[in-house]
Amino acid sequence: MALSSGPLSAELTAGVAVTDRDPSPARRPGKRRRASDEGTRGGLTSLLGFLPLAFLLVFGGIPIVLSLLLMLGHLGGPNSAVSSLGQDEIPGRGIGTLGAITQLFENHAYLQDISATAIVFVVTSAVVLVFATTLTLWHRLRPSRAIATLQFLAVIPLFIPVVIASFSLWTFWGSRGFTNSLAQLAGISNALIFSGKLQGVVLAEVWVSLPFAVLLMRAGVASLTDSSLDAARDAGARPLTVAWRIALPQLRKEATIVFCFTAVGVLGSFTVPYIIGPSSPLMLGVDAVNTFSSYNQPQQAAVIGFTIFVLAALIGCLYALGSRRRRVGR
Amino acid sequence: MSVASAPLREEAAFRPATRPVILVVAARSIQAVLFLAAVFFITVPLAWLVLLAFAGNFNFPSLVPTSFTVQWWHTVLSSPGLLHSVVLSVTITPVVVALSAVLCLPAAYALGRFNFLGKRVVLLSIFSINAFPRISLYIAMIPMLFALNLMGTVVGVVIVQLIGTILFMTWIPATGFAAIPDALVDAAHDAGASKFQVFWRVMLPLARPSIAVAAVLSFLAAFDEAQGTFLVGAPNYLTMPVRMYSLVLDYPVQFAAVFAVVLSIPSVVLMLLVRKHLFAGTGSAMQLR
Repeated sequence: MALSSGPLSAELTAGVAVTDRDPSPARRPGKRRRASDEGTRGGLTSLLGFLPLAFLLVFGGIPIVLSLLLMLGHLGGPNSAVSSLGQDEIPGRGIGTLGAITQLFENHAYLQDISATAIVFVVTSAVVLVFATTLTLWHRLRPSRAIATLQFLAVIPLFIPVVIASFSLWTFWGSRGFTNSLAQLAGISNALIFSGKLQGVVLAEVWVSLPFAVLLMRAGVASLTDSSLDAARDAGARPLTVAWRIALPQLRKEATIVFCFTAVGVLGSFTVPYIIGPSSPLMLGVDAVNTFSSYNQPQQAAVIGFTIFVLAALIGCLYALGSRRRRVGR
Repeated sequence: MSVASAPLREEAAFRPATRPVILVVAARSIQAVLFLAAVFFITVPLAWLVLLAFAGNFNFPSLVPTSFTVQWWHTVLSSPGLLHSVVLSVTITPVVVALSAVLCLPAAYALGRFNFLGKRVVLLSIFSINAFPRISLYIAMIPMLFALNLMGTVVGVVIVQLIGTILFMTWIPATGFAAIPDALVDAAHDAGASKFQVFWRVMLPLARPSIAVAAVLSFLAAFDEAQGTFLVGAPNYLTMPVRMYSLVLDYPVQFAAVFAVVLSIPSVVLMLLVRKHLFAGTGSAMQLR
């Protein structure tokens, strides 16, 4: 299952049913207080609700703070274990040092890695968005067995572990793979080799990101009201016009979610670019792991980790803007 | 997956009445090419993988092998190192799912049935932490795992894999518990059932599909987790997906293809088992506004 799409799947599956549920007795005036609701606050039972968050804070929140301190050169305390093994460390005093950050950002190769990562996540997200939107809208406006089949096929990658998908696509798009064999047979040598290139990373990221995008857009498209589509149809609009003028403006929020979650998934991915990507420029996920595992530089790896966080935060801002925008046509 | 209902009314309404034939043919041709390209893009790589797993002689640029063999299957299934990975994966994953259930299901019950202070914060925080780019979260965990002496240990691997399951195991069953009609619960109480009986005989059976979906998704998230396990567990704990990293680089492609097919089996089988619930849940429960 696509690791990168974990959060998206929960949003898909859970929706807001949980957060919007209001079992307050006030909702049903005159009814006696339920024996089961314990005042609807759950008493001590509600404390159980905090368990998963507590776990995530201990094993996700505290590490982020420690990693931030490591990045700023605080090599002692809890960080002494990792820093005693590391190389090229830049210790900081007081608030800390930006030495490790400037060291990386003065490195031309690192800047290339950042721009390569940005290009890959923007292109991948755009392609996935267009693919998923076209497919699901087409299915709504011009239903046919072929489109239904394609929509079914687009969900198949959900069933395949990312590492398998990466390996499969690596051989498929590789120099001895299916596409290059086709190209050779057609007399165009080496025209269709994508493994070891950023284009290959984009293709593979699109492949693994498609299912959740299609599922999410499908749910969005299903929520479009017949009346709005019928009105346009009765006025003589062609399907393309209905899609562009009526349906798409109503799908802005879903589109924002698909774009942003695909982007964050690609940004935080390691397996796909590790197996399929070029050795230079590297995607930031691979760069971070290499910096830690191969170059033994945990402080610099922490800087790369935070670069990814910052890029994700920018995508988060886009998400906040896009999802707050008022829906048109409702 | 729902198949198109193809309402005739829509078909008729959208059928262009006066477009020239050549334009219709051109549009149809473009649609057909796009359709075939999409089908090719999605499915052929998987067919290619299965073909590789049974390939004997495969001479470039041939599109199919000139001979087929099951020799690679024998080689893979008799390799002690790979079998060790299989044993590791099928041992660690159930532990992770069980721990996740213990940690999250009580929380899911509380989040689904009660309105308490901080409930929204809990739900959104779990979601937000999970929305962090995964690889940088793992990188951030390294200093603490070193400090706790958990790098290269099975406990470290379990913790890393557990993180990826929390969201599924909390949100999905919480939705399941929340969807149980209050009237049913009230009726059970009115009939004299105790709180535990109501939970055990009414709520749990009704929430079971969502718990099953959560368990399967958590199982797959843990079973297929490669990047964090690679960072934290290697070289001591090479689970099946982590082993794929080295197979890709160091072994014949047919060998890796066989292992890949074997590794895909649990995912495909489990996802097919919960497919109906998963997609039904996606269609009905997801109301994003």
